[in-house]
Amino acid sequence: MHRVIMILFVFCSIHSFAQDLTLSGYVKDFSTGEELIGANVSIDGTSFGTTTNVYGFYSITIPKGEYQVATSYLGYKTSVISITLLDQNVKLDIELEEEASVLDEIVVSDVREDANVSDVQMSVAKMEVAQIKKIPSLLGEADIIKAIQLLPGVSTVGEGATGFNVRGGGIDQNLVLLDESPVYNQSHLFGFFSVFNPDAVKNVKLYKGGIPAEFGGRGSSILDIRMKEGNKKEFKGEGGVGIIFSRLTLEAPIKKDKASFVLAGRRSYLDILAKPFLKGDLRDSKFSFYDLTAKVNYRINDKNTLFLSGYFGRDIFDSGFGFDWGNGTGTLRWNSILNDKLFMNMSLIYSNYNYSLGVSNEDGEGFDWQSQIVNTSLKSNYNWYLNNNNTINFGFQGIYYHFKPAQFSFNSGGVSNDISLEDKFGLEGAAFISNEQKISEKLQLQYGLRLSGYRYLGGPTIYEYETVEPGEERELVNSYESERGDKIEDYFNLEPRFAANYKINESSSFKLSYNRMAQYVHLASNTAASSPLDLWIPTTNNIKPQIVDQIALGYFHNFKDNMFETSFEVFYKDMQQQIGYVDNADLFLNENLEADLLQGDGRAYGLELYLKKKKGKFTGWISYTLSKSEVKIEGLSRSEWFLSKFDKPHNFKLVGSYSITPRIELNGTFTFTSGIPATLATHGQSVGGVIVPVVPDGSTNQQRLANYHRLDVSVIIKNKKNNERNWKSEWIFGAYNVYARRNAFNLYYQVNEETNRNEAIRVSILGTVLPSITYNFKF
Amino acid sequence: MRNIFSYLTILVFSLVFLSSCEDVVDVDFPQSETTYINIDALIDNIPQKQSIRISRAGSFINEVQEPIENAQVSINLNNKTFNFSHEGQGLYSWTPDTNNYIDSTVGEVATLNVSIGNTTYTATSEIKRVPNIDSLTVENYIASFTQQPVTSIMFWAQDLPNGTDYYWIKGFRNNEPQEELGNIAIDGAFDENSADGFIFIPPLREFLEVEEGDDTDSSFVNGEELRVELHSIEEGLYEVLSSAEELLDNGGLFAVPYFDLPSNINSSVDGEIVLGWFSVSNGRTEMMIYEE
Repeated sequence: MHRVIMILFVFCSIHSFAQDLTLSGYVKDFSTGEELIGANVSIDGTSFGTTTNVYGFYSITIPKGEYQVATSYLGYKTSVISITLLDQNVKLDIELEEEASVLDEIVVSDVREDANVSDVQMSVAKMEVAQIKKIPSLLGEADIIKAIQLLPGVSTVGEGATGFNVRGGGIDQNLVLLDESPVYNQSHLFGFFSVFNPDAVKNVKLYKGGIPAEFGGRGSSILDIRMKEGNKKEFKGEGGVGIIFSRLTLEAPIKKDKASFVLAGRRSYLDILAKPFLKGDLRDSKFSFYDLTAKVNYRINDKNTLFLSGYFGRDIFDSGFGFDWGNGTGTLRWNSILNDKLFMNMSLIYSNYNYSLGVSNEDGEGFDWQSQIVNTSLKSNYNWYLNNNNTINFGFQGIYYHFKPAQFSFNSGGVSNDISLEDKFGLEGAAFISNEQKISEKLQLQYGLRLSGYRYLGGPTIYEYETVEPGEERELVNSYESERGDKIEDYFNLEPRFAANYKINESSSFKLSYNRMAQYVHLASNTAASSPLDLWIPTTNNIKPQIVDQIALGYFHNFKDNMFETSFEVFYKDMQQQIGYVDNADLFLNENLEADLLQGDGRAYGLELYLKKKKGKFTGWISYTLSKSEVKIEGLSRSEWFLSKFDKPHNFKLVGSYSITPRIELNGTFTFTSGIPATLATHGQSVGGVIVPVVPDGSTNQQRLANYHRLDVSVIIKNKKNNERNWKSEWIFGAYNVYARRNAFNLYYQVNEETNRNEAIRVSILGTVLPSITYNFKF
Repeated sequence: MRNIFSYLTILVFSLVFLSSCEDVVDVDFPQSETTYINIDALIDNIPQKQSIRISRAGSFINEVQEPIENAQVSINLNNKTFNFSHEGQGLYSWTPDTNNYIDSTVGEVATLNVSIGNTTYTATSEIKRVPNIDSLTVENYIASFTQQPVTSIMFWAQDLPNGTDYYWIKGFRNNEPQEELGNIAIDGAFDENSADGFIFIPPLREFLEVEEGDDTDSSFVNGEELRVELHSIEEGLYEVLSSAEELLDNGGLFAVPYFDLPSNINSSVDGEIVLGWFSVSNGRTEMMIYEE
């Protein structure tokens, strides 16, 4: 890596002999001082232009002269500034004012509204938080994860299920980053709400394909969530009161234009509300969830800024039986402008997911079970604005994993025992370099390479297994003690990344992309929906890294002055070393868990259609995905291809928002998807005279649950602004699952105890319409 | 207003705890027409009537079980042959007597022979060691979770040390089996790594129990005959029983995919899928008459 950086700097110094000068700086929100991500900076009358990076920084190199610099960003007034570049580089921080009329009539002039067509990136969805907040949601709580499920290529296995599936990939194939820190479980209350407080979020971007080289470690997608920095100009607050929980976010400068903070918290009050209704033993029940998001930033000088951000959330259920889980993350970040063309970000990242489960009585009988995954990471990346046609991005990342699969002790009948599993350790490293290159006005490329490596580290007992019968539990052939830190097994992967954009004309383009992704951690989950107990497991000498290759091709077209945006994409994914499970796999408290895991091939392909209306009284989108996702694992399902558990051939979403008056807005979403596949019993087998439901030929996911559909609506009524108190507020009245459809979450068989007949039971998460009222405020 | 608030509270509360609703639905996807030979041959050496069920197993949901009535069924052990005769409905039985009984020599291997038409099915089972049951006791206590009084009938036995032993425990009231498939244990507890030579731990030793309050009709009555059977079984049958239990209890939000049970029965027809298990378990039984 050192050599690469040296070579790059040599190039850099050669280049500085040229006559061009550099204009660089940050683009910020005028009222909050918040850096704007993806704002467009262009030089009027020329083809020179760029966009701000994820930290709000831009750099353009142009010949000497006088220019008009136009800066624009969706929802903001375009700023035009005159500058003269004479004999030295210019540093220019640009502040944009929010479009005042946004609330009244949506007429946003934004020259970069054609990003859909002109960006080199494809298979990317960027969602504005304001947009997410409009979408009717469960109990009126705006939800980032639920909102991205409305996009093409994104689906979920069912209501209230944790996580999401992107283009036929598993939920563990999504790298969900909150300020660069991975969040291993994104759910509160199993999966009803996501852990991200929308009031503290600045930007949400989902990469489904053509993933840039700076990202890696998961097979299918990157969900990049950036937190607000905190208002640098004045004290501001916002929040809401809903049926299930309340939110409050405060942000203020600590030292004007130098340092600021944001602090956001949410807490559910189910337990408080339910207390009067609880009797007897349930009286002391606790069930709640909360999350806290905080960030401070400090601008050391014009060139250096420090950020410290963290998230802490927990779900607690306690009613004689205790169960709690949650994530904690922390990011310390240093942004530095090394020179006018070279921007550096260095991050120290910590992330932790853990759960605990336990029960005990007065006699001390009971059990205590805890599990945890912790990782610490150092990441550094550099944006080098080489010249007007080339922007180079390079960097490295190292991640240290500490897995604590289970600490388990029990006491029963005076016998106590500890059957904890040993901790496991892994080290992941990556170096990457990529270039975004403008070949011509019509052709733009982004190409890069990521080299990733992983070492399974010593510490625990090392097991070696042998496959005796494919698809059956693997047999233990050897085990030995290992020293902490020893090399047990190494893996290396070269991951090429490529994206191209060919502009047919101003309003349409073709894009092509390819990426290879290597994944070194896996989620062991054998149920239709993941549960908070599911274990993250490392790549080991027995479990190989997952490798995903994806190629995608798309046609992008905007029309009516970018009022409408359309895209048509096809993708094909080839997946290696996908995780499968032996029959009756024992995933918990099993020191030989790896013997129960199988690996095989996966493939997914499909097409995605997207039509979005961005302006006018009526806004919204239609998204449709036709796809197939399959797995083939030797020994499972007769060693033939079978449907993956998240295969959904049809996935249709309709999202609409209509402003009746400037103060009243009507919103609705309609979802229609195929049901998920399920492995249901085909035969009844007598065991000791009891008929047991079985699948004799071992076929997997041979049935499919009924189609899923649901309509949600909401009305947003904005109260008149109180100018004196600078208080803005709104009411949201919503209804989720309006026509009370009982969508099947899963299906199982049982013997009816009264009639003694075999029957099928459909489990639905919500069988009814759920009304909601939310009051939101801002000051 | 108060009513609305109560309604909302209950609504939210029920969302969390009763959010999932379950209802019986018709299965509209096509059911497999294929049927498989199912030989359910779990017998033991306790001197009582022994039965083997033979059928063609079909759709679970349509309850297709076609009894096979023309099979020849016998077991060989220690140079003795025990012939099972058809009782009707695919049930084949044999009752031991003083001259003709299963000798429980540990390590002996029994062979099952079943012929149906031109096809023969065979399987073997090894007799495992089993501890004696020391005694049965009645205990009354308050259940820690529900705070309800419980009457529990316990058996006292100690797992044989050194080596992993698999057990199948069945409780009977007036000779009626009480749990569908009984209980299973490893080394007197639940796990081979954590136990060896244990006195069977609770709740395994509680082979019958009645919790007052859930059903008073089920309370033990004086004079009732309470009996336990403790069987030592092979690991394979333990797997079958633990999987069967999981399949029978499968359901709810986090249901697992259905799967097939292991089988130790071989067919003379190559590649034929045969369902079932053959086992001759080494059993001990002890009974008591209930008195309050």
